[in-house]
Amino acid sequence: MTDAFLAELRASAPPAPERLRERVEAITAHEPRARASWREWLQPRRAVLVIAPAALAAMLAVAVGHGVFETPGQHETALSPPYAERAKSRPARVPAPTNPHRSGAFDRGGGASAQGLKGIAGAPPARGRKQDYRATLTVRLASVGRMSDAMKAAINATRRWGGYVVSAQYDVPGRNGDAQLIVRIPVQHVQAAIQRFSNLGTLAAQDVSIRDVQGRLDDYTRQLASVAKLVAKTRAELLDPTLTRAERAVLEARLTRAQARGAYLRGERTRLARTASFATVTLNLTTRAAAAAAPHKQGDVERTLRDAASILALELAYGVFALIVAAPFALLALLIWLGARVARRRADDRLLGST
Amino acid sequence: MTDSRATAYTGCVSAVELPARHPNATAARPTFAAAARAHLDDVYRYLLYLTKDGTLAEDLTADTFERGLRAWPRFDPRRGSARTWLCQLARTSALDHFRAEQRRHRREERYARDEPVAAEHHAGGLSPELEAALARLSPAEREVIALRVVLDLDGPSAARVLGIRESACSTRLSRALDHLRREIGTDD
Repeated sequence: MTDAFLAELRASAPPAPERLRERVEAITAHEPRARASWREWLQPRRAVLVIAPAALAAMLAVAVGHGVFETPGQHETALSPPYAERAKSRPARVPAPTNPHRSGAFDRGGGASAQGLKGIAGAPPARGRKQDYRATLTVRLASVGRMSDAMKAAINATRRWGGYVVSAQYDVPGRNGDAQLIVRIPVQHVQAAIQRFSNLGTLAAQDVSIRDVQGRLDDYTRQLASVAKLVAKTRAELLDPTLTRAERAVLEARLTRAQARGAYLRGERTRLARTASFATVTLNLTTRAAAAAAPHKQGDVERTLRDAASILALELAYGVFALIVAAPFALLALLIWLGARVARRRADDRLLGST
Repeated sequence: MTDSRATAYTGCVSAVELPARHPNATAARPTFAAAARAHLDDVYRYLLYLTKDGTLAEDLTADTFERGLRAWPRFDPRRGSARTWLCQLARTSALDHFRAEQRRHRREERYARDEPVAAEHHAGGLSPELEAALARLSPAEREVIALRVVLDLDGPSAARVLGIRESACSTRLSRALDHLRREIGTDD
């Protein structure tokens, strides 16, 4: 027998009753006028085609914008490679200036012509806070004959401000020479010192580094107060005549430890406060023409491109980082979604198989 | 019944029907009222086979078109025809109803025995044997028969409505027809 029932099924398919037709017509009568919505237009594939180039353009715009507006082109000069190498080889206590326009809020540095840095005497130290202030200046002199005078002038000025010389190196083998002077100057005079040292010749580079130590000082003070309380309490306990010999020995040991700790903290606090009350200024003097503030031939465009590239690299690094961080969560969410979908489908199958 | 027989039911595409991924599908998007007019009978038949209850099928059909009206802006003709989309909505309506019924049934089971089941009402001019045989099939079997035989949906569209692969849909249809054949005693 052929499947006659199939033909019967198809032939006798019931139409929708008239009352249902009226209900549905009443529903569709409320259909709003068709208008193209952005959701209709923004299909996933089209969205990717629009969003991806837009994101790329935004990344490039940020990178180029940063490169153009943030690069301090007109104020920057560069040390010639031989001088830079010499500067690195010196036993300087403060690192030579590197990549000046990468400095943060508490670092200000960079090569500059004396003209460009007129009036810029480094970042001022904060009032009311103790800071570890370090500055490195590179000053070009016209001739080796002026090297000795410049050194003397710097040392005299340092002493006049109440500072002292940490180290001095003088190296004048021939027509060219270098000298390095490291001095400690009371922080209240550091700006004047930087200004004075800059005027010794042509300022070729300046690097200022400020590190706040007030937090550490406050921490020492708090610990000292706590130790003082412990000492006082232990001494009071030792006055008790009913103490046994063993108890007294324990208390005395505790007192000794607390006193030693207090002495150590006082010493550290004093050392830190003394360090913070003086700024370390490194003055590099040179007569080498290469170290002069000669403008970089291919400076601005090259630096702009380099900055744009570094920002792009940074954006990519952040993107990869975000991807690495988000990937496990995204995978977990996907697995949960797939699991929920499978569970729902099975529940539907059970429902239709048993209803 | 073989898979080849199961896929033999094709054709009968209405005026509003557009094949999936038709290049001009976007341009030929109908209004919802037109789609409702064109596919009302199909949706009703599908729900009637699924629920075995004419009154319930009517209610669910109306519910389907209410949902459809709200969701119509999201309908994408490139992903499937309006009829397939409406059948998917109808299935969701029916499943929601079944779930609600199941919950209600569980609640009531705590307090009373089952009510006597209401007489099944299957509109249409089917013979009593065929109607009884259909009533003995599971809703899953009836719905695949409704989609592939009564509504004449093609394999991919029916599979899309059921949310399964096309091969699984063919297998389900084959088993459903075998079961129906056994029930009406024409297994030869």
